[in-house]
Amino acid sequence: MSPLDSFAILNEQQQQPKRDDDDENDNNYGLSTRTKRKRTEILLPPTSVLQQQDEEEEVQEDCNDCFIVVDVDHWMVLPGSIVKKGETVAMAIQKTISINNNRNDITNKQKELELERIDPVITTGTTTTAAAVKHKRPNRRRKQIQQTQQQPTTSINIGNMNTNIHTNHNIPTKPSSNNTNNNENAISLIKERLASKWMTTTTAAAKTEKKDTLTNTNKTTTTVQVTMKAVPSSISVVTKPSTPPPTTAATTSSIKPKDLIPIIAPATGFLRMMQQQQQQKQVNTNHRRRLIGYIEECLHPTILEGMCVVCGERPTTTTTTTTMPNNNNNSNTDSLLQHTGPNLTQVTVSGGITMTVSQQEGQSMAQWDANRLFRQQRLSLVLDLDHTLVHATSDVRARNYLGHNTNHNNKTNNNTSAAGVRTIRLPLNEGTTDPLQLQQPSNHLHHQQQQWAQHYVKLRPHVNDLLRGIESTYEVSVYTAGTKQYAEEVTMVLCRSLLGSSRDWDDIERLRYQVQVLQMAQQQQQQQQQQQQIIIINDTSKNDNTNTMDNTEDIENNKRTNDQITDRQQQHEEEEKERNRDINDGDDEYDNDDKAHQPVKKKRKKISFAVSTVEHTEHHPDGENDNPITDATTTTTTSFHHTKSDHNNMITKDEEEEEEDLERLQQELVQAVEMEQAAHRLRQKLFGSRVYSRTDIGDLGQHVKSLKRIFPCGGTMAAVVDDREDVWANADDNSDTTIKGEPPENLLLVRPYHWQPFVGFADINNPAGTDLSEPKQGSNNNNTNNNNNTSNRDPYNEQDQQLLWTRDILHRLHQQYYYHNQQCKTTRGTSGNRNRRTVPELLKQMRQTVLQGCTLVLSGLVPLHKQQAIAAAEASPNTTVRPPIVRFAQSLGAKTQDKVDETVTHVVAAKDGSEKANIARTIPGCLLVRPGWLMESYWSIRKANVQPYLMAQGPAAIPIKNASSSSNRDEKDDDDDDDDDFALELEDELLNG
Amino acid sequence: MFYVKSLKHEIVAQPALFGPKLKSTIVRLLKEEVEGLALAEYGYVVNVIEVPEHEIKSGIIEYDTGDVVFSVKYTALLLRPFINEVLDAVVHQCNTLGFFAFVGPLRIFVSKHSMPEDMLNGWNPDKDSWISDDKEVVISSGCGVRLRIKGRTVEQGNITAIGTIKDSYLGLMDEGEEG
Repeated sequence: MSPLDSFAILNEQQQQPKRDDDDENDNNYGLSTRTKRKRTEILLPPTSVLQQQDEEEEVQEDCNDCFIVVDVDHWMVLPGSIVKKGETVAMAIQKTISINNNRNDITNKQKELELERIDPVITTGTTTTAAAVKHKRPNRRRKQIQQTQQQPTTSINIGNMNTNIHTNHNIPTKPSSNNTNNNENAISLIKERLASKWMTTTTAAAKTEKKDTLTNTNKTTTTVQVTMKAVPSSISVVTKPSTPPPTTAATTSSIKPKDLIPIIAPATGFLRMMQQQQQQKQVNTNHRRRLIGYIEECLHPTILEGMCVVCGERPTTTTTTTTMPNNNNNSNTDSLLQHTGPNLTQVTVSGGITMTVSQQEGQSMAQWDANRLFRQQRLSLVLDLDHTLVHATSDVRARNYLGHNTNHNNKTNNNTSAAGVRTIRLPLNEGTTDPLQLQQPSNHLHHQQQQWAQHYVKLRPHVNDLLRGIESTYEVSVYTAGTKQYAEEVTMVLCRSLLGSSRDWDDIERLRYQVQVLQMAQQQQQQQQQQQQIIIINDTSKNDNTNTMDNTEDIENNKRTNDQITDRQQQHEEEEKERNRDINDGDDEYDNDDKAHQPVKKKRKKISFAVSTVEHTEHHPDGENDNPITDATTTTTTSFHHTKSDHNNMITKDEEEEEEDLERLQQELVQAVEMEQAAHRLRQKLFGSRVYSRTDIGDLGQHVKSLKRIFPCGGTMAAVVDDREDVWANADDNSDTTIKGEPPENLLLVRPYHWQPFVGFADINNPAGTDLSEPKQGSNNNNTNNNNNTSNRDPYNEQDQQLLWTRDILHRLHQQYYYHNQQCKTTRGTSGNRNRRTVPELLKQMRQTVLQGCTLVLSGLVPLHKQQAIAAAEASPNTTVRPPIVRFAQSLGAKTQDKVDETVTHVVAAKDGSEKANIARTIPGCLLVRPGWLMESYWSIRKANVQPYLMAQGPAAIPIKNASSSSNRDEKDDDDDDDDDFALELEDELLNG
Repeated sequence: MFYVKSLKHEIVAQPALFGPKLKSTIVRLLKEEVEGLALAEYGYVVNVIEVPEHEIKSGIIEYDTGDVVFSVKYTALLLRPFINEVLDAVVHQCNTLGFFAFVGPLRIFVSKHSMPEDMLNGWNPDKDSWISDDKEVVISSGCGVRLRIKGRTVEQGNITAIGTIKDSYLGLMDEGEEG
């Protein structure tokens, strides 16, 4: 092989990327092209090298062969895709020209070469060889290029072929037949043209070349240069994809393997080919090195498990394959994050897989998302589940509310204040499922083999109103501290309640089962009827008659209740009991699988028995009567029993009723299934796959929620609804605008929702946020408030308005956002992107106006030792974390003060009778309010009505409080005192010790 | 790519398992332990094909526990992704950054940068799918795609590969049942 084997030239200099290049290629990265990326050029071997070699060889004067690297023959790699260092990128054509002093020899040799090259054109007709031909006739080639530039559509030549190839690149997945046709056409045309012209042109070309060589001095170097100058116009780019395999084979065979030298990628990255004109430009400026393309390094936009998903490289030298026992897929990216610093952020994408994305990728994602939402005139919203939309408990006593729930629902017909209690089932062995299984689509068949625990979900009042209200204006995500399955089940429950369906999946199964049993019974009955018509003629007794009448009523009742009861276990227990009574067998234990079959089997037995008695023992009605009596409470089995209570009049009646039942049940079933499907669709529409759960983001821990996980660039269009702000504040990667340790401005805090009978009992997931208005519930000073509380305690008649407030806030936010930004657009043109007001800004602004002009004094709400923190916060407002209540007040636009004076408008007091409260009473115009007022204002971002939260006038109100509340308050006092004492002790210790 | 290879594995058997059917117990234990496992160098063990009885040699008793360690040779059917291998995979999940596809137990991620250029901005969050600019190609979960493996990483018990569909003859093969 030639000395130029495996030739590749590395240019490590970082080149200033040209703007025009980037614009052409920029759609490939999906990244902003503002950043400079390192480029490594791919060059054809410079002529200088050749010259040197030639000169060396010339000294010897024996070897007269020289190699000229002419052009790229074909690219091995599709432009735009990734090449690895050392991979062969392309093959370059290399010519061997033997040079003698005798000029005729040269021309002869060239002619020979020419013939060699042309032959395959005529036979196989590939573009490569055509190019080779043209290379041999530079003048003609140039003319052709001019022609193509003038009439690019009509003439078929290399330029046209190139465009063909490019279109191919655009849709490489679908190799279209058009292109191959074009190719064939082109090839045939070239054939024709060549067949007609080559005799004349070749000779002409030979002459011109001869002239060239003649005009120059007889040095080989100049010959080479002349040829090289002529070369660049002939660019034959034959890419692998555009030519079908047989032709490729022909191409390679047409050129001797010796003539092809591989060009090896000097670096890893995206391969970019230079455009033809650019190549020419490059050549004009620099003869020596011909730039044919370049490799751009991969910026590693997305990293999965320590591996760049674009190029497959491991971007950092982290010890990724070392022991990381964490079965979550975050383990490696974690260590990676630490290693590579702030340029990478972790994102949990829909479906709950966490990847690391570079900042640019994150930005482009955010930008894309923002544009999309803006087009749809929507905003995104992140919802919490527990204590925000629902209260879930595993307390079995909650079952008592189930019946009430359905009755209530049926009566009031989707009244939103209905006590919506639903059940969900969750696997007991959560956490042990391996990640693979977690990612597999959940399959209901699979569920039956697992252990299940029943959970009760209480929907917050007005949750339907909220969801309906924001359906069209917000893109809803769910971010919960529960497990994935929990999140999915609860979203299903939400959707079902939104549609007003009272049945869940279990209910439907039960219904289906009932229908099946009824159908079965009917079939049996028909068979039996035929037999009876033959055998039995007459057997009537009054006892039987009354029995059956009673029974039918019972059946009706039972069915009704059964439909309404949603508790699956209860139902099954009942059914089991009934069956046991019915059959008088001792079979207590059923497997889940057997449940469907066993009753049917047993009924069959009964049939045979009953029929036989009817047939043979007409005088033994006891045996028959026993059964119906014991069956009195059963549902389907009894109805079947009646059919064999053998008198024809009744049979027809029963039949009719049964058929009606069956039809009714079937209808219900169909409706329920439809409803369920609709709920599924709704869920897909509402939440899509934007459900993020604890299991997805395990590495963050249970008490941290990070907005960046979902929105890599801070979520400028996202609002968050949660009952806890500490989880958001705990995230260490909050956007820079907020003080560290304080939650982001996007957060809309809501009042933690508790289902009153089950406060704090057996919560499934993390505890609720602290309700700072809670102390007011301890003191029953205010009558209205008292009423409020008691009504809240009544589980069927809750007065919780929070979600209506939230809906209102979100509505206002949406309006403001789009009102403002539309104006932006009209005034500033399309460049309004950068000037868009963000959601956090708007929320901040909204809050600022709520209590503007108010001056607040907080009494008994901030522990002593934290009051110093407030002072510190005033000194350096951007670094210190404020106590929540102070922050609430300040973010609502109110001023806070330490001392009560004339300027103060409200004194927010945890308890009456404090010093500040007493002073407040003496100042006219100063209102003494409970913290609930401040909190309601914060929760609803609206100045709450002071009236319900006013403390009674005068200290005389104190003795009214009852024993329980006073004890509560004493406890509260003690706590505060303890805190203060503890703080003092600590201080002493620190100072003295 | 699937291939068959003979491998070694150590089985720790408790004394309770010793009995007349010890060998078959060992085979059972081996299958339980090994099948579905991803071995760093060899890929996924899809199936234990054969455990030659004569290869189960007498074990060594651990002094501390009384358990016996058997070294077992077996032949297994392995699934290992090779770089530049072309595979047909089933799309399992699409997200904003690309999509995940499965080939049996092997999970392959295809980034949006590894998709054809007309699909780069084709993420449709409503349908959870990637759609090309001309709306002809829709990749959503359940679809079959042909892809080329570009890299892989082995973690304990799990192999993740990355793939590309940006090449000729790669891309959507099958619309899937729903599509």
